[in-house]
Amino acid sequence: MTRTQLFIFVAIVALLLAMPLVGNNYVLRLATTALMYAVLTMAWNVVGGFAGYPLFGIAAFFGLGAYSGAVVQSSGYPVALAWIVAVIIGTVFAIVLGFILLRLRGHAFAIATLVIAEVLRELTNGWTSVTGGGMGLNLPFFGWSPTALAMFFFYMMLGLATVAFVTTWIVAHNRLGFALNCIRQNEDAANIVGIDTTRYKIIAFTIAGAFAAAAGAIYASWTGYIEPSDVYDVLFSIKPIIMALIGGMGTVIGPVIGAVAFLVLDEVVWRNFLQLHTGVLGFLIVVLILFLPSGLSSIGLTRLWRKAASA
Amino acid sequence: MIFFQYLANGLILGGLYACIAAGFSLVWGVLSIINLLHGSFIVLGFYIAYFSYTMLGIHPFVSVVTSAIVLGAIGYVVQLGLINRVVARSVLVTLILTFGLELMMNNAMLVSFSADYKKVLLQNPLGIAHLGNVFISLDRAASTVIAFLLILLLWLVLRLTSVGRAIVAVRFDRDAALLMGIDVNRTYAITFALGAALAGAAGSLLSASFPVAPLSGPLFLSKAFVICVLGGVGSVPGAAVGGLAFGLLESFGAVLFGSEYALTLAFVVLIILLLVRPHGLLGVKGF
Amino acid sequence: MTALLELKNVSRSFGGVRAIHNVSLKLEPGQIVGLIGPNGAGKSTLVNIITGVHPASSGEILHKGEPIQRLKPFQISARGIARTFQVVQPFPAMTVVENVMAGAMFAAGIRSMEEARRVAMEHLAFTGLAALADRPAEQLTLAYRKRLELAKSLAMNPHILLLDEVNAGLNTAEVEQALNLIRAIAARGISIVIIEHLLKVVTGLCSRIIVLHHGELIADDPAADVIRDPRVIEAYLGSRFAERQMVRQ
Repeated sequence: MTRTQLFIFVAIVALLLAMPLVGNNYVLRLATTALMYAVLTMAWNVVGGFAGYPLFGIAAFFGLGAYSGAVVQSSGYPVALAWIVAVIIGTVFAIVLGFILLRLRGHAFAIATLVIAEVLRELTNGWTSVTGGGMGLNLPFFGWSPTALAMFFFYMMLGLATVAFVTTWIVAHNRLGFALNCIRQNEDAANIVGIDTTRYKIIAFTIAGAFAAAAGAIYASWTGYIEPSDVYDVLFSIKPIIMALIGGMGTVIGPVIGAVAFLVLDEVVWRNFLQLHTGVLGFLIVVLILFLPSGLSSIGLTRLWRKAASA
Repeated sequence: MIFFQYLANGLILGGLYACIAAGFSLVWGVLSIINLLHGSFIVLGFYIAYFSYTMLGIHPFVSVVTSAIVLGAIGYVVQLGLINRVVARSVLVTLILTFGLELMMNNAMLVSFSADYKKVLLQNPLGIAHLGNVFISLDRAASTVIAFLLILLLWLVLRLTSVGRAIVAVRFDRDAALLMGIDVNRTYAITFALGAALAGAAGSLLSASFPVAPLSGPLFLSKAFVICVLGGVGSVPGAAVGGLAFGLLESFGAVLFGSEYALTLAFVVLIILLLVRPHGLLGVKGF
Repeated sequence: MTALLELKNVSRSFGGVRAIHNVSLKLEPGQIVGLIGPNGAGKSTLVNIITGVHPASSGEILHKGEPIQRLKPFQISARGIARTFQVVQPFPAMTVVENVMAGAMFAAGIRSMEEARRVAMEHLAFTGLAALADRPAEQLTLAYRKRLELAKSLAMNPHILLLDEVNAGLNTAEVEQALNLIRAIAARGISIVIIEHLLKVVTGLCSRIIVLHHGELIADDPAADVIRDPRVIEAYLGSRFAERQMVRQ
């Protein structure tokens, strides 16, 4: 990572930690959303950035986590349990799905993961008895004040983001990250060199799935009402990719920077172009993609190994 | 007996689906780009036919030509101006670019045409034919026939014209085609234009048979995916076979699982195919 | 005494094409064996089968008496069987030393990254690449890339090394250097199977030569005898020369 990136990252962290002092609910909400996307982007980065597998369906885990947590919570169980169950379900689903899908590469993998999210959405829509189907699911919450709620969820997301960050950092600096790096550059050579590519890919996929599910669970409790087309929205799959692309796929802090940067852009667009919001968003995406530097690969990531090995 | 009704329905759907998928398949096979705009191209073709009929009284089948021309032009410009810049880049980049463009186009149509479903109500429909116990809407049947003719036309273009053969050459080996003196960039643009033209034509074809809204774009896209993988990416005969197969699948699937699960069923089939037989029914050789 | 590596009636078909048919051979420790044959004979395919890249359609492969034909490539690497590729396969964005570290960390099982780096540098020194340790692998010339491939394989701690056309694309001087390196590797006790086109290299280096033709093993003899074997001559040059050879004998 460059000095500039590090500086920006520190600034972002300082800003985020200062949020509760500002006390303004709107700003807190924005910051919580930013943290949520940071988690999703970091999760995505392990599979898409480190291992190089174009994951286009992280919304599948996000939605699965949201619904798992929501169903448990609306059945009267404590929130903490709901979130734990969501993570467990997300993890198990990731392992199973990983076994099936990680033998695909490139376009096939991208499409398959995209489609999984859609299938889950449809199934959730149809399973009305448990999920409420298209009518959505309401979550009960303790009668706290809006400010207290805002603070609470801010800290929860901050906690999750911190855990995600530390996890990403650890992965990047040890054998798992090295192996994923090899897999991304030349999977056949990685196999020959003794890397159990299936195992490492599934581990990466599971990490991504678990964190995305956790984010979804917290999101569900936070918004208080979810429906399939909301939590399985393809934009939850696409935005993290763009965030990773603009922040730098090869680094640990890149996803955080990208998430915050894009979110700010997104919010500005939202506030100013209500009817044309998606159109302008699309325009932004096109511009960003066309003007991204082309050498966006592993340069940042490989520097980490050098440092780790010569430490 | 009712089996034959579903069979007829499936076959008629199949032709339209083949037309929906053929252009998408061609672009995927030649440019290695999954064009997420494809669904919206179809929807635009629909609106051209719809407004041509409601405002000018032009029959949708005639609009097939206008749509093809308009969408072809749009496709050519979009490819040459934007998509060509990222053709050689990763799956991530190309998918996201077309995703962004699709957001823009979808939003534009939503704002221009409003979100409600529309359908062309023909003043003089061809009517319904009875074949034994089977009811066939003649308008739909005519659409299907035209759809197949369009695919045949595409196939002939690819086989017989020099432009078509350039496209096939680029599909098989881009670098070799370059060495042979083929202008690859122009070929890409033409291919994309052809894909868009067919999409527009398909949209016009189904304007009298099915209600369409801007929301239908992603639905068409999803179906085009499955059909492509079913028939073999990049293969025009494959799109025909895949379209038929998909039409039948949807027709019979609706009976077994309920029509609301049609798309889910399609997706499950897609994933199974990707895992088991990614070259589709006809494979890479289907050209 | 069980052979180090043994193939029993190994066959492999791709669709209708018989790539390898009924090949049986034994490899003993400390041998340098040449594997030759005309283009398309199945030499690389055989190496792919041994290393698990393609499964055998039938037959057995035994490593120190244990069957390995069902194992995945990474498992076979971990058992100490390494190979180089005809078209070199580095990790392009990583440096030379990192490429070698990959072999040390995974196939050889070194857990610590610092230790892996140390071991990698040793192998780089052995193969004469120490000065290039921190260069990105994609910047190396072909001859150095081939050496990197060798260093990476050595870092995997193999006792069997399968070399697939290490000399393709090298000039005479580079070939000579490569041969010296191979002799040094053999001197460390590693058994080597070398696929080669250059007969001069094979006869100069190998004590024993195996000949494949159309996927079948047509000769497996000491080096001196193989070049006079009429079947081998026929495979390379056609039956006229083979007959001439038989008349001579």
